[in-house]
Amino acid sequence: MNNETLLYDDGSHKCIMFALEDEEHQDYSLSVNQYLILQNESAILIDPGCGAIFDELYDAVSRHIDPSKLKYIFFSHQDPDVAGSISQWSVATSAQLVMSQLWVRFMGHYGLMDMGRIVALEDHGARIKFKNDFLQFIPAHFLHSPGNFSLYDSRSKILFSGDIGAAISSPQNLNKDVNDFDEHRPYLEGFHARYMAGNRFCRAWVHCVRVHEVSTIAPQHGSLFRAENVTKFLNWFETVEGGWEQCETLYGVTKKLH
Amino acid sequence: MDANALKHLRSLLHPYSLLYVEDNEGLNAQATIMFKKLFDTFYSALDGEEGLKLFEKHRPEIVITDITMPKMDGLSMVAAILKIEPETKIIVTTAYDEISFLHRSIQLGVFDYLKKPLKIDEILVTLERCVKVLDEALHQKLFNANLHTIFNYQNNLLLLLHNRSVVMANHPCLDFFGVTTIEELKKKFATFEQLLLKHNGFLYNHDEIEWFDEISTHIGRLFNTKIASTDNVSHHFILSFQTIPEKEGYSVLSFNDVTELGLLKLYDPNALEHERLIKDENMVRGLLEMALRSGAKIKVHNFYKGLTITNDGLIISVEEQKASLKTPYIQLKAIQLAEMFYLTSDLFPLTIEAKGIKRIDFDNQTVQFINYTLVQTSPIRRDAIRVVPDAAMQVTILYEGRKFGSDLKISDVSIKGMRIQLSLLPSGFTVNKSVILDMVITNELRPVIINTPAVVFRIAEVNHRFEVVFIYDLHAQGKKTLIDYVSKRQLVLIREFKGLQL
Repeated sequence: MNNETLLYDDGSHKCIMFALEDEEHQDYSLSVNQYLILQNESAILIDPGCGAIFDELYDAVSRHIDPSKLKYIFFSHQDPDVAGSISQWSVATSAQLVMSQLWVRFMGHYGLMDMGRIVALEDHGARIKFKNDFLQFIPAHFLHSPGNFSLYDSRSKILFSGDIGAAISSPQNLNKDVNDFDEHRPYLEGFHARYMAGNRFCRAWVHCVRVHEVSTIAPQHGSLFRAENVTKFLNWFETVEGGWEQCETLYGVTKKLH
Repeated sequence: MDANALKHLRSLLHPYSLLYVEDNEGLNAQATIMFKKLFDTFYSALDGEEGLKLFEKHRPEIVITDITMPKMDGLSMVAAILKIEPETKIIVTTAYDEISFLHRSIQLGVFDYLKKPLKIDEILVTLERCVKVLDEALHQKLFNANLHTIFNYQNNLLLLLHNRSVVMANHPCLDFFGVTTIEELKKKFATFEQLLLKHNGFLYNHDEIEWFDEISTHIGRLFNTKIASTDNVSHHFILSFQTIPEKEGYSVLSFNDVTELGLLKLYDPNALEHERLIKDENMVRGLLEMALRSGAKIKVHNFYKGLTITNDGLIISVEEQKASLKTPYIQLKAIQLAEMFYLTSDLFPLTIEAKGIKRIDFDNQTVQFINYTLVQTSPIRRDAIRVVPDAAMQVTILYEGRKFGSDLKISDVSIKGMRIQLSLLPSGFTVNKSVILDMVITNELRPVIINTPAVVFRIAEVNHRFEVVFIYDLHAQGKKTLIDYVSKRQLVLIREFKGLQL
């Protein structure tokens, strides 16, 4: 299977998707995607994954840019399939590591004591400008991690959504593109119902996303949503109910809590 | 009214919502069509009782209401609304024969009245006045609410911005810029870049930087600025920029005047007294004082076996003989071990080296220190993580085909270079000479050899021994092997450091 896909290229700005890992489970598989945004001599790596794929991803990145030139490495949240290779990447590059301020104090456990390397994102996010373009870190807290961000690239109009949009075992994961949203939707439902904190957070995220013109949603797991599927996904995600709505079921509490 | 004026009014009304109460269904329906064109959020009711319920639920900022209505009349509703929210702007609509009610409306504190039949131009003019009052109240509220976020704000020049224009400023600000009104300040601020004077390391407009872009993309960062006062005296300000998250487009700009610390020349490497100034302890104390006054987050650095330990710090006191710093436990531990630390900040022209550690208070996370100097060559600038290797790591140096350095010791290693101590050097061995390094590292009990060309980058004498820095450009597997080694060694050293009992 091809594990490298060019998502956008206008000559000076490129977005590349790598899919270097699959989580194998008894009854499902979940592909893991890593992304690279390049502009001239500068680059940002998104959710580089666990230590086991470091060598392979390092080689993949090297085909496009000298990894020592990576300016930022963005970790949408703290899960091992996102941030497990912090130690290796901190040694291999001099990049600034961008993450929620919530995870900074855990860096010692990941193998980093130099907090000067960290760009700690405040809860409401931040914007990195370059020339006429910008990268916007959009809050995605509690979807599912309590300190979580999506990343919007204004030039390519791609939204790197982290865990939001992950689909488990969808047949449409094979070609990495959602071509029929309604067929894909059942594979989104189980994951989002269990991992998202509640509908209010889903709506807040959609509200923040709609400020921007989004052509593609690129999740960390599963397939890309392009063109009209972006709208279909956002409309669906606004209605998603999560942990809050099914609290009693999750805890096995028979009476309705108020 | 033309379409542009209507569009403009709509944008002004954007943050606000309207409740319209009128019992005449025909009139209500007609006015609803117009108000929906003006307001994003609009509610309408057919009597005072329904109006009050809608108000309680949605709290609109503007209410337009008829007076004579069934169930609850307009004036009773107005009284109830103003009791709940006295800042609500209420506009009553009155017919000719209801003039007597007007007196009572004024007593209640309504914003204005409109004569029936309603005329569109009059409504729009009244709404425009209404928005102006609401905006001013909002700006005042934002200004007051955000003052507490600014350290020592009493002495600062403060401006509340909406996008790039000034909407409010405090008196010290108006005084400094020699104006008496916000309108005058607005004009001056439109060309603010001309007021920012060029100074080394300071914020001003040049080829690569547009000042507002720079501050708005580095929110929370502090900047040195130089601005001339109306009597042409150069002032040194610390500028900070904070957005107001709950109100998009609004931000607070604050200028903290630190001119009297006399630090401007310290930033100018061409100044005649520069060499003397950087050795002057009073200057360093001035920098610490500046960090204290501006509440600057500075970086505190230490090293443990090559590994950089860095955390944020805050200067909490500067006295004649001593200064105090607040920094997390882990940094204090590193300070205790090294009996010194380095301080860096975007505000400082050079790195500060602090020694003379007097008191470390782990409970309050503070350290007191009495000696501080500026260092010209900062040890902080490292473009790769370095570690002191484990005892199993070995290296052989081949220079002009011969091995040398039987008593060598590796000080530290990174993926870009290696620092080695030697007692003797071969003749003619100088900077830029080429060598071959053979490193042997033991990964998971298996020795791995990395063989690489390297170049002598620096030679120094330390304790009667030579310390040589070699740099190399590793490729392929050698590089990955060393990345893996350094990252694992990093984890071992962190664990070792955390386990130290001091």
